[in-house]
This record gives sequence, C-alpha cells and structure tokens, in this order.
Amino acid sequence: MSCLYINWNEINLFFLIGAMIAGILATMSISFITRYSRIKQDSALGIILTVFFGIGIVLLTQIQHSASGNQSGLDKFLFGQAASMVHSDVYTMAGISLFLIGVSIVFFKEFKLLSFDPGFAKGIGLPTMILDQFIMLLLVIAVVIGIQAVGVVLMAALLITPAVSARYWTEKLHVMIILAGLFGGTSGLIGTIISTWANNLPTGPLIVLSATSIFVVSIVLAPSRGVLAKAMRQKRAKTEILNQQQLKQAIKDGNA
Amino acid sequence: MMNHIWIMLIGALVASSCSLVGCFLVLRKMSMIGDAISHAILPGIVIAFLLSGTRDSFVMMIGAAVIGIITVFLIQMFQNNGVQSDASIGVVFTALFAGGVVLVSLFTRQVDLDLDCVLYGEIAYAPWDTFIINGMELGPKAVWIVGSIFLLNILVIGLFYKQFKLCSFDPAMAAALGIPVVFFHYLLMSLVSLTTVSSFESVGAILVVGMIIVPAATAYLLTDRLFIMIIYSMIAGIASAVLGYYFAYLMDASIAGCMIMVAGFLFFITLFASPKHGVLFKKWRRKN
Repeated sequence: MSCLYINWNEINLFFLIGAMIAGILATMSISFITRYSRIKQDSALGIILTVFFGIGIVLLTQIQHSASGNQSGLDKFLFGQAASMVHSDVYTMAGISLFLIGVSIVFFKEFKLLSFDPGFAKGIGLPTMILDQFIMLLLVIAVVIGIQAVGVVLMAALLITPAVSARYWTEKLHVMIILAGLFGGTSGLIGTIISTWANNLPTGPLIVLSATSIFVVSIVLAPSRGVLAKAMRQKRAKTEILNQQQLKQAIKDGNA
Repeated sequence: MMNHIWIMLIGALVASSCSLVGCFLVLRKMSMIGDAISHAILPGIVIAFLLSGTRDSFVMMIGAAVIGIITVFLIQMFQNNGVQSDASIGVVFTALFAGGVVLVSLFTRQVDLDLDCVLYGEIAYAPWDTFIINGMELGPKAVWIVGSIFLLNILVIGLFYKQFKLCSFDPAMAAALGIPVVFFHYLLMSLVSLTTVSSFESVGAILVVGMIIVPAATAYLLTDRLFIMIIYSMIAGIASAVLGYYFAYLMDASIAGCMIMVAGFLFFITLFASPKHGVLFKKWRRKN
C-alpha cells in the first residue's frame, strides 16, 4: 500500500506514467468536445480541468479516508519544490528536456505547418490528428517534469509567458522558438539566483516573476510591435500629416 | 442533520450564482477568467491582511475583489495590445499568483495564512463558522455572504438583462445602439470577481471554477435561448450540489470534488444525449 502515499519529492516513474495517461486523456477529451459539439475551446478546457481535478481530489480523499482531510502533500504539487531536488532528478530532467528539444527539431517543419495552416497540412497528406496528439504528448511530458520545479499553477506561466514575450520580437517561427527558450532559461537562472539572496524565498514564483519582467520589457521595448515603437510610429505619422497640411496651407497662401 | 442542509444550501447558492455569471462567460468565450481570478486574488488577500492586520473575511474580500478587477483590467489591456486572449489570461494570473506566493513567503512571520486553506476552503467546515449578532446565532456566515452575492447577481443581471444579452452576442451592434459596452464588460467582470471571491472562501477555488463553467456549458448544449440557458444551468448547478453532497456522504469523500464530478457527469450525458446539440442525435440526424 505504500505506493499510495505519493512522495512528490522525487520523480517517481509511476507518478510520471499516471500523470501522462491523465494528461493524454484530458487533451483527447478536450479535442473531442470541441470537435463534436458546439462547446468552444475555452469552456472545454475549463470543464476538463475542473472535472479532472475534482476526480483527483475525490480519489485522494478516498485513499486517505477522511471526507475533509485536506489534500496532504498537494501544496508541494501546487507550488513546486525546486530547492529540494537531488542530483538524479536534475539528470532525469536534463535528459527529458534534450529529448523534447530533439523531437521538436526533427518535426519542426510538420509542427510549423500544423500551427499556421492545418487545412493545408491535411491537404498535402499529413496525419494532422496524430500530429496534434503528438504535440500534446510532448506538452504533457514538459508539464509533468516542470511541476517539480514550479508547481502546477505556475507551470502555465512557463509555457505561455516566454513564448508570448518572444512573439513580440520576431515574425519568424524558428527565431521565436529560440528566443522563447532563451527567455525561459534566463528567467529560470535569474529566479533561482534571487531566491538564494534571502531565506524563505520560493524559487518557483520568482522564476515566474522573472519571466513576467521579461514579458513587460518585451511589450514595451520590442521593435515594431512594442508599445514605444507603436507610439513613435504614431507620432511620426502625425507630424507628417501636420507637415503636409502646413505645406498645403502655404501653397494656398502663396497662390492667393 | 442541520449541517447536511446547510452544506447543501451553501453548495446550491454557490452553484446558482456561479452559473448565473457563468452563462455569460461561456457565451463570450471567457470561461477561464473565473479560474484566472480565483488564483490572481492571492496578493489581494495578503495585502489586505498586511494592511488591516485582521483575518476578517470582509476586509479580505474587499482586497480580493479589488485585485480581481485589476486582473480583468490587465488581461484586457494586454489583449488590446495584440496578445491573444488565452495567452493574456495565462500571463496575468500566473504573475499575480506568483507575486502572492512571494508576499506570503516574505512576510511569513506576520502572515499566518495557510495557502492550502486560502486556496481550497473546505465546504465541510463552512457550517461551523456561524454569523452571530448580539449573541443570536443566525446560521453559517457562508450562507449570508454567498446568498447576498447571489441576490446582487440576480438584481444587476435582471436590471440590465437586455444590455448584457446584446453585449454578449453582438458587441458591435450594442455599441452602435449607444450601449456603453466597456462599462457593461467591467460590470459583468466585477460580478464575476465578487462571486468568485465570496464563494471560494467557503467552498474552495476548484468548486467555484467548476460551477462557473460546467453547468453553463451543459445548458448551452440544451437550448439556444439565453434566458432558458440561465435557468437550465442553475438547475444543473443545484442538482450537482445536492447529488454531489449525497455521494460524498455515501462514499466518505471530498464534498467539493464530488459536486464537480456530478456536474461533469451531467455534462457528459448532455454532450451525448442532448436532443438539440448532442453527439448521438447529430449522428442519428445525419444518417436519416
């Protein structure tokens, strides 16, 4: 029975497999709901998220056999424990990360087509359904190993924020991917360094806050898409129109 | 015996007020906003606690509601700036949540907040936290808080039903008719924020998020008319609360978890068997 008391501190093979099965089931249910009913993506996501979480809590309380016993150990699962990882965890994570990067490089062309024009991808004979599920599988793997470091909620931040920041700097997918990876890695480094400055600073949230800072810098400073660049463009356009109007006025005055 | 009724009543009230605003969120493709708010308000709770020094739920609720509206405002701002709506929600709520966790860790000596407790209030304990005026026991606090938010929701949505309806289905036309679309957007978001905050303190975040989305989506599969959709979603919500409590009692399992499981089960059945938009009937119709 000891395996029922889940030790979140180590990357447990059973835990990984269980999480992966649940993750695959969840992504498949979401695509089933959006494909075969008029429920939109966001609602399908929310339904699967909460119902799966509910089932998880029910199972957990069943294991512990107390109706109100708060989910012991769940807080570590929710907030992450980057500081308590050991050497072997790091090797496992590094290996899986390298694997994910390798797969993304090999299937780069297919994934690119699938993201930009799924209709065309289907037209030229790519198995879009399988590829879709394959991306989801990679995502699930990334999430499952990331939960260790930053916890379940903030995992979402590491998936979204660096990518959104990278989107601001470029219009090319491969540049965006490399930038996103760099931004994510940098936030991990900065967050971890800051968390060593004082006692009791949690690593996961600080990593997320570093990623958010990069996002804010990107949204303000990025060339052509950033707020500053847009404001400057607007100003330039305004002065140009003003100049033209003045010129017209001057010509009119000259004619008169 | 009384406790059973109180818990079911609290569950039903949470379900009704959540599904009332949930219908509009599902229609506007903003379902995840409830999830975002329920996490993002953590710094609001911590700051309210640090400023006031009390763990009075009213003060915390105000702090949380303020941050809830700031969350919505930030999400909207990034969206106007060209970030996709789901990405914008993800960026904002995770950043605020991270800020909250850091605040809790920084002031850990002053803040005696149990994160588990803040995020996952337990409906089983709600009946014990009673509301007392002049020594008179007036029933659980949660019933009063959630009940008054429910009434507020009904009042505001009832008063501006036409405006909300038009803003959800055709914001461009609403704007053309002179309805202040932005104002109603923020009014609805304030209601969502208040509902989330008031409910999850007593029943836990996951139940609130579930009750906002699942019953409304169930109702969305059953009808094409907004008013009927609201009624159906409330019925589905209340049924999940009552049946869920019954199952939790039978199986000795988490109450919130069981309520969501029942809501999910109802959705699942509707997804396949709904006469209008169900998977099975659609297939059958295509065959004939």
